[in-house]
Amino acid sequence: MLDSTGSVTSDIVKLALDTSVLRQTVYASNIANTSSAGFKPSEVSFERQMEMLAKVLTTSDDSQQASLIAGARALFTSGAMITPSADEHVQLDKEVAGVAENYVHYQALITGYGKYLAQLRTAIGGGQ
Amino acid sequence: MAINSIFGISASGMSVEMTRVDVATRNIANSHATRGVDGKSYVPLKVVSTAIAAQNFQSQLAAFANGEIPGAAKIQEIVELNVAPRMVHEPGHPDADAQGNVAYPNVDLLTEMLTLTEASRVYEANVQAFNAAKSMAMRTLDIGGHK
Amino acid sequence: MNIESLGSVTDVSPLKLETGGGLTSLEKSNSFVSILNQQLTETNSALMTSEAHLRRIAAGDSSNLHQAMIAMEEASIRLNLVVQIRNKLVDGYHEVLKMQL
Repeated sequence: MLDSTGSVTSDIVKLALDTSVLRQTVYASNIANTSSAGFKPSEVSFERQMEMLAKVLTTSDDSQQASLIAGARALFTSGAMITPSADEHVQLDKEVAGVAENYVHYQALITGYGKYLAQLRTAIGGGQ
Repeated sequence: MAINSIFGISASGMSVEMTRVDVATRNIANSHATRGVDGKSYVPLKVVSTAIAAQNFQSQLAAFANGEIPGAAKIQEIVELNVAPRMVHEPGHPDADAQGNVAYPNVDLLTEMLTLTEASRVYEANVQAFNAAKSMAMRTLDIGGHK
Repeated sequence: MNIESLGSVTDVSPLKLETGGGLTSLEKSNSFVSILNQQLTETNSALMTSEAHLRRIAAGDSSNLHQAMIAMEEASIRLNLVVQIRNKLVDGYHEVLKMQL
């Protein structure tokens, strides 16, 4: 699971991107079902995202990182990232605000990852 | 994550709210219709929408089978409201009954206007979610960035 | 003038400039290579910081986005600078090699 640099950074970023897409999907579903009978909104909280990745980030032991990231990915695939929202009904303004926040987060990841890849390219290619 | 499920959910929401607007508009337009095609006065309608169950947004296999997207909204049914018509005493009216009363549809204009307002709000929110998803997808193509 | 051979950039061998008159030889602590090494160390730590910022954003913490973006861009610029210096040094070395003495 280690990428070409020997670190799990690429895997962490990919998992974060997937989580962001999932979060957008959940927001979209909440908004689409605002008026659906008996519908209870769900969420993919940033706290949950932090929990999922906490172990990978705090372990300095490289040999463990590969298995820890695999564990985080398994957690994501199991659907455990989606939790019921504290609200009984869809709060439209909250959902729309969340969409905007998530979008910024997604953009930050893409931009940051682009810079990271550019650094790798420079280091490997010697600026040629 | 399939592309059509990202956009399809918001599209379904827009579609449901459009239907809601259509029905509310029809109710308002027919609030004085005392004689319909079947000879009876108009009965106001209501849209009942429901969510397509999403066990786990990642597993799209089952629901996709019949073209339904997990997490999307759909119209369950459009029902006639169970309200009695408003009886107004108008002896000269062509549709007056033996007592001179005319059965007007019991369309509550306030409710219909509120439905219209709420449906537009939700429609707008769906559009914003759709735009965010589109921008995210376009931005994905930028991974690797500028040199 | 006595120019010792330039090994790989990470070598600690000092580059001394000596002339018969006027120019004094540079102390080891001020040598070009030791300055370059210091730059490399700082660049390396800037790159590590940059990667740590990216991971933090990935964990869901968007509270310091502006700092993260600035830090990442700074690290990229530093790296580019060091790599360009290295390239110029290597070019210079090749130039010297080509001299007919």
